[in-house]
Amino acid sequence: MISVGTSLCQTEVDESMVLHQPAHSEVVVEVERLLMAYGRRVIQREVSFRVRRGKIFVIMGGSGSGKSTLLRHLIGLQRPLAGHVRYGATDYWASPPEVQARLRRRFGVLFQSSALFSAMSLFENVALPLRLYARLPEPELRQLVRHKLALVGLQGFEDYDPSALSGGMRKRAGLARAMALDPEILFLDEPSAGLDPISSRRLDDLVLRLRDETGASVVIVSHELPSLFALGDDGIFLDAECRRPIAQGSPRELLEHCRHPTVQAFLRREPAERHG
Amino acid sequence: MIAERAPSRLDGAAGQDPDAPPSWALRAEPGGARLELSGAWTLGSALPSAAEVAARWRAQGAGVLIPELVAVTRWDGALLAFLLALAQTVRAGGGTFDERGLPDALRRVLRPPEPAQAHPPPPAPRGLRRVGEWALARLTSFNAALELLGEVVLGFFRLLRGQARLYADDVWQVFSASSAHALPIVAIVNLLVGAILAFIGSVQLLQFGAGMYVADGVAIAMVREMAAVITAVVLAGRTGAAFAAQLATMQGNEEIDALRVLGVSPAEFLVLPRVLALTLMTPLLYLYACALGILGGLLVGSGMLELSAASYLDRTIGALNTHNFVLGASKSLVFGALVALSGCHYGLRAGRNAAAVGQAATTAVVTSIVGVIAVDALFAVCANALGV
Ligand SMILES: Nc1ncnc2c1ncn2[C@@H]1O[C@H](COP(=O)(O)OP(=O)(O)OP(=O)(O)O)[C@@H](O)[C@H]1O
Ligand SMILES: [Mg+2]
Repeated sequence: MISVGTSLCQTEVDESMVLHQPAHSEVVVEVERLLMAYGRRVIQREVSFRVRRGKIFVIMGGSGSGKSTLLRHLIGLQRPLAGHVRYGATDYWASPPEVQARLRRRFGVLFQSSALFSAMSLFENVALPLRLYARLPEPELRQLVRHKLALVGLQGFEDYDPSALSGGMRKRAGLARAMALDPEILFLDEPSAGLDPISSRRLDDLVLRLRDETGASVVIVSHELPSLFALGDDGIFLDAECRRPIAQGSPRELLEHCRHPTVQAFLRREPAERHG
Repeated sequence: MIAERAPSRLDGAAGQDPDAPPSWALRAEPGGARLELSGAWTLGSALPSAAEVAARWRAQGAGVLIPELVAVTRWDGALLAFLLALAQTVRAGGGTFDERGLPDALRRVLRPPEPAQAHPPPPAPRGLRRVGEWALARLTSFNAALELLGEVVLGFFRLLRGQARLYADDVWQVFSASSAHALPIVAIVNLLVGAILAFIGSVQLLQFGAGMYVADGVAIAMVREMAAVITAVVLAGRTGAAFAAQLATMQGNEEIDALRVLGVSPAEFLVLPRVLALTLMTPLLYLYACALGILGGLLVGSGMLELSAASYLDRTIGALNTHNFVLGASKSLVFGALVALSGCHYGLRAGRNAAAVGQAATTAVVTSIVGVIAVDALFAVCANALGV
């Protein structure tokens, strides 16, 4: 029921809105004119943005606007109908499977539904990436897994099955698993959904600390305004109505400068005005 | 939510029976008509149809239609539904639906819709196109099944070279689920099948004084056909369905996606252990099933024929040869692989919701059972040609 009117959908992204990063910061992910669809149904078109090293990039947008879908295109789960996803100089979707696999090794992904392996204990979930790709002796591996779980406040739950955890605990466990291999790029789909305000704040702090300590870049999908404002260095706003991005920039900048009613309504948490 | 609200105009309703049935009247006005509603317009009452009202309005010359609650005693979602349907018909017929005389709550909903961007789902294909899309979907599914088989075979070779990535707990769990846990049901079903065969055989053959052959018949039927087929069908319903449901649930939880991102092939990590487990365990279960089928035959047969257990077994052993066992065991090997592959295939292709899990399990079971019977027929033809 957002009466932005179709005219606003046609407006190009306001150039002044694009965050001007210092030229020296290196681009780790570059998305160019991505066209995403399920079958014949287009979800988003003309999606272009850059994620710079050590920065936190937020994907904003209403429910169903295609945020998770965009993430799936970035991490190699879904091939775009058109457009490019580049990691450094490598075009992911134009690369052979071995190169894609090598690129994926640099990712840590937290899925919207946590995606913990239900057949494994919490410990084994976090240990799996390490068992696959790190050559650690068992005692060291155990210590590292404990440490990762403690980081997200789950010490003592090592032997729990995922089914015995709350939704928020699963989210945190998923984050611990995503961080297991110290990835260069973290993709987080709604990390703080289902968390209480304090845990949510802790998680934000954790993401910030992680970024500062490891220099990882982070791509986050989030609805939580406090998180968005606390974390976002840059971002993109996907609109469900026009099915294309309608604004780019950090959430703070967008709040101050973006005149698009949908973006303003989202960031101010107000329903958009109706005409008449 | 649909609490009953007081009508806005109580003057007309005063002194009325609050449970009076809903009624309407159409009064001509310059340029259109006024629709006067009265009575209790609630979800529990029998409502007039909007189509009927619209037809009358059209017959009177169409134009503007102004609904009014003159003596409505009570109303809820039923009135709203009626008015929504009426407004749509009137507007579609080129008339004007003037909702301004209605209470606020109704008016807001009945306002002419703003031109909003519609999100029509892609149109469902029709006619020949539908047939074509169906066929293409089958073909894609078949290709995917072949691809899965290929990946599993490749994974098997990697396993032989010690390079496959499996999860020991899961493998153990899958093996025990497809073997030890299936023992009771396989036992009961095959015992009963053996007994039924012996019973029918005895009744028929005793008429010709050929009761001696019951043991032969039961033994050959069980070892060549029934034990393998019945066990495969039981496993399809039990283990194949479980595989499909497990993998479909994992699909819904994004677990499969998480594996892919970790660079682990689901075919190797999840499907290979399941296919391996059923392929290796089904022949063992087959042998067990043969033994129980023969035992069932013995219990009934020796009783009905007044034969000692020893002489019944004697005839049984005389009737069988290794060919029969080799045939049955090879069949059950293929059946096991078929049931496991079909379960995993449909599980991996499931959609991301709860209904998809049930659907995956059902499709997997149906496909497995049909597949088992078809492959059995193929085996029969081959065995006949080879003279075994
Ligand atoms: N597997 C699928 N098949 C078909 N359409 C899908 C599928 N998954 C998602 N969609 C459609 O794609 C659109 C975007 O979905 P997506 O999950 O990316 O939204 P989202 O922005 O992440 O929403 P939310 O904030 O609710 O998680 C939705 O309209 C949905 O209907
Ligand atoms: Mg989402």
